[in-house]
Parts: sequence; structure tokens; C-alpha cells
Amino acid sequence: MSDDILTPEQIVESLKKSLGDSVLDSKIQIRTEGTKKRENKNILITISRDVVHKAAEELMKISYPHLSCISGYDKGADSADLRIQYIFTIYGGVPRNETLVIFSLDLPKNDAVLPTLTDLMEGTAFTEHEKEEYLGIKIDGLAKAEHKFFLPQDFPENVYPLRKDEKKIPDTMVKNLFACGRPKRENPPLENNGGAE
Amino acid sequence: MAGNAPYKVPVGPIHPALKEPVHIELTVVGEEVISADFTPGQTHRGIEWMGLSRNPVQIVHLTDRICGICGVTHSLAFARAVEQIAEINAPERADYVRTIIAEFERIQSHLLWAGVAAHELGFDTLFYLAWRVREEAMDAIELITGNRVNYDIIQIGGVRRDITEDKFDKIRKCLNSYKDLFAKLKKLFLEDAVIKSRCKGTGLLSVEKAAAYSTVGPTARASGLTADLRVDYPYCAYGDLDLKPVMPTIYGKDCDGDTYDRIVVRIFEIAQSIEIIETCLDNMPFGAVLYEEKVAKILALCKKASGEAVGRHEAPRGEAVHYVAMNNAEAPAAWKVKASSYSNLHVWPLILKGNQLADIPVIVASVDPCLSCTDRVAVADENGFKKIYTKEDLSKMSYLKSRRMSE
Repeated sequence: MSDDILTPEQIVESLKKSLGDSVLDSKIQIRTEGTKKRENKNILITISRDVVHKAAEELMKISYPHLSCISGYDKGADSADLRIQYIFTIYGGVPRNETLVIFSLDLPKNDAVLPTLTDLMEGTAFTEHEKEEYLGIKIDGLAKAEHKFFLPQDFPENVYPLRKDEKKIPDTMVKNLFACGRPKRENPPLENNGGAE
Repeated sequence: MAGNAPYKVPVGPIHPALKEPVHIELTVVGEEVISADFTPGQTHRGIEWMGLSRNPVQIVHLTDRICGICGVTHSLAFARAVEQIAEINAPERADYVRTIIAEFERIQSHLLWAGVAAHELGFDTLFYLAWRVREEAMDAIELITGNRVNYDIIQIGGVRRDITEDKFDKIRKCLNSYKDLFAKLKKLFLEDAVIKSRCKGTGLLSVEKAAAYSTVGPTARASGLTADLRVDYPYCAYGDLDLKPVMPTIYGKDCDGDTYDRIVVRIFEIAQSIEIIETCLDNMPFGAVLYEEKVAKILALCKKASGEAVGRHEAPRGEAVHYVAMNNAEAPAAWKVKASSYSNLHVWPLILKGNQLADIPVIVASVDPCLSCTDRVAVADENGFKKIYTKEDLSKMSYLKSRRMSE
């Protein structure tokens, strides 16, 4: 870990150097708000699925990161892939220098396996369990949980709330409150008061 | 109790020591907790799932309902994510209004927590005091937004209501009342012998573990992590201010990472929020508070937008994150909500271990867990039978109740 604060461009360069062709795309978003228009820095990097663990390791070499969470979504019922985002920040605690680093990757649904990062940061287990429960991703190396963390314990197996394909929540599980109707009135008000509601 | 130690002690999901449903299972030998496990997910409502069939303006109102205490946190984080994707810049005055309401939210949230903590310690007079004085902040929030709980003030591209000059006096009066009260709150919460003896050295979280578990907010700062989005990641009006993260050192002590330090951080953050609001009122830029007043035009911009972004906000409990991906469609392709407590709950097994059973309620409360509202209610009737009331049942019962009240 270096004591120097790298610019977003330098961070991207450093990660490209260590991950090589596995960095598929990168983008830097700078936002300014308030009257002084001070910048907040956001880096979005698309990587290939094979280098998730290495990407986290390389980020740790730059600065010890904070993992906000792992996010993910199904790209569609017709798509063969899930899209996963590892939302990290580095330089937290350094005034006006915290930088958001998001590693995004496509993960085939027919081989939805990712490595655990618990060997690098033990606290990643919680968000990794969420990906197992919500998207049906198997996290390789993650200790099996004794119970579900994010869904009711009686939630059916092989159904994943954020999937859009055949593993999605079936229509039979969806309850529309508006469709449940109102209880019938024994004495409707119109009849009681001569028409005035 | 039959059998030999260790014993399993289940707490929750519904329990007087818990303000919201979560199941905690403690393994104890005598009075000492030797391990702990927890099962959240008792309150899952599928809000993200609902959002994926709605447009961003509708989702803003949905985000308000994620948390009853963080009424602006989620709508602000979501709006900031969408604004980045659609390249919408909120006016400067809106940044200041957003900051002011966010800091009032911090004051009322920290006072609510302080009351709960006092109650968990059996100090109910302090609980009543904290919740009574919290009303001042709730009144100010009502003055600014029109609402006390679901504020509904955030809109994509700004805020739906301005803070006009005629409201400044009432807001300043509220802040002055807190200034007068701060010394009393500090004395009651930080100098009381019982609070000290119950909270010092309990619920310990080391700085190493706080970092490895990516904890956030006062929980992280009490352990010695200086992370605070308002200081580190300029957004809204926070970039214009010269802030320092509130650490336990502000009270002339080391960062021990115990329950007491979490109280210190929250009490002093109330004072910091008062200063932030005063500075923002003094320096409010003039101008509009919305990028575009016509909702249809905002929606048209959102519909054309494509890309992904993360909106963040330092909520009273720490960093809240909304990841949004949009793809030239009415509804977003993806929306992920990471509430602050998501990053703090999972340290419970660490901080409960080795503590006395009697201290568990206040240690559990010390991370200020926010588990939101219930999605179903289990009720045991007088014959001991259990019945689960579904949302449909509850909806019908609410209609009948309304009718009874109007008759």
C-alpha cells in the first residue's frame, strides 16, 4: 500500500497494468455539487469474471478498501448473463479524496459461480450470502450459512427474487393488494343517507 | 433449565428489547454469551422488485418508504444516482435544502436512538426527555417539508419545496433550543455513573474488525475509522463546508470502539448537525430548487438516459448506497439499495461475544439497527392457535377499522 493519493486516472492505469486484457472497459465519472463545485470521483471498470479476486487484491495494494456491497441484476429473461458489480471505495477517511471503484462483470447464468473475497476481507460474507439468495450465484469458498439472511426461512428453494428467467418469482407468489377487494358493506351509505356520501 | 450448559437463548423476532423484528440466537454459559448468531430478513418487502416496474419519479416516492426514520436518505441517494446517469444537475440552492433536511434527520434520528438506548438501560426518564426534545426537530422537518415522517421532499433534479426566508426564524429558534440543551444531554448521557458502568468496555469492536467488515457511520467512527462521506466525498453542500469527522477523541478520550464511544459520537454529531444547518442557512445561494419543474420533462430525460451510477449519502447510521442502471427505458434496468445498517448488523456476533446477557439489549441497539416495517404479522389468539395475517387480511381490516371510526 502506498501513502500517496492516486488520481482516478492513475488508479485506472495501475489496475490496467496489473490486470492486463482482463480490464474490458473503464470510465471515470466526476460529479460536482454545491457552490464550490468540489469533485467527487467515481471509477467504473468492467472486468472479465476470472479476475474478480485478483482485482480486489490489486485494489488492496493501492489502499485498503471499503466494500459497500456487491450488487447484481439479471440482464433479461432472454439474456444468458447476470451483471454483477463490486462496489468498493478507497481513501475513505482522507478528506475530499474518497474514490468510488466499481468492478462490473458479466456472469453466465449457466455457470453462475464467483470466488469468495472473505480471505481478503472477512466481512464480505454477508453481501455474498445476499447474492446467493437473491440471484442464485454460488460463491466458491464461502462457508455455508445455517439459515437464510435476507429472505424468510420458508422461502422456496430454487426461486430467486431478482432473476427474470425461469428462476424468477412465479406469478402465484405475487399478491396485488388492489386486487383483494374491499369488504362488502351490509348497509351501503348511499341507501342510508339518501344519496349524499 | 434442563440439560447442561451451554444453553441456547433465542431473542426475537418479536421481543420487548427489540424495536424491530430480528431473530438473535445466543449461546450462553451462565450469564456470559459465548457466541451469537442473527437472522434478519423478517421484514423483507420486495421494494427493489417493485421499483423495477416503475419510473424514477415514482421510485423516489417509494424510496421514502424504505425507512421510517431515514426519510430523506434513500430518496437523496437514489435521486443522485439517477441525476448522474441522466446528466441532470440539481440547482445549488437545492443542494443546500437537501443538506439542511439531511442534518435535521440526523438530529431526530440520533435523539430517537439516544432515547432507545436509555430505555434499554432501564433509564426511562432519560428516554422520555430524549424523545420529548426530539419533537423540536420533527416540528422543524414538518415546517420545511410538510411531513413529519415520509418527507417526500426530494425530486429528481432538486427538491419539491424551497426553504423560504420566513421559515428561517423558526428553524433558528429550534437550533437555539438544542444549543441550550446540549450541555444537559452531554451530562446526562456521558457522565451518568450507571451509563458509564454499563457501556464502557462492552460491545467492543476493534478498528481492524471495523475495517474488515466495512462498517459505516458512528459504529465505524467509534472504533477509530475516520470515514465520513460528508468529509471525504463532497456532495450536496457538504463540499462547501469545512467538516471534520466526529470521533470519540472529541470528548478527550481514546477510540475504544465500545458502546460508550458510540454514544459519544452520536451526541456530538447532534452539535455538528446544528452547526452545519446554521452555516447552510447563512450561505444559501439564491435561485431555483428544481432543474425542471415539469415532471413529464424530467421523465423524458430519464427515459433517454443510459448508463449506471451509484448515489451515496451519509445517513445518520452511515453510508447508504443506491446503485442504478438505466437503459433507455421507463423503468431502470437495475436498482440496488444498500441501507446503512446492512454494513453494521453483521458485526453483532463479534460485539456480543463475551458480554453479559443483561447488556445484550443495549449492545444490539448500539449499532442503531434499522430493520424497517414488518411484511406480515403472526398473532397467537387466546386459545394458543397461531394465525398469520396476510397483507390482504390487514388491508381488509384497515378498511373496516376506518369505517368503524367514521360511524
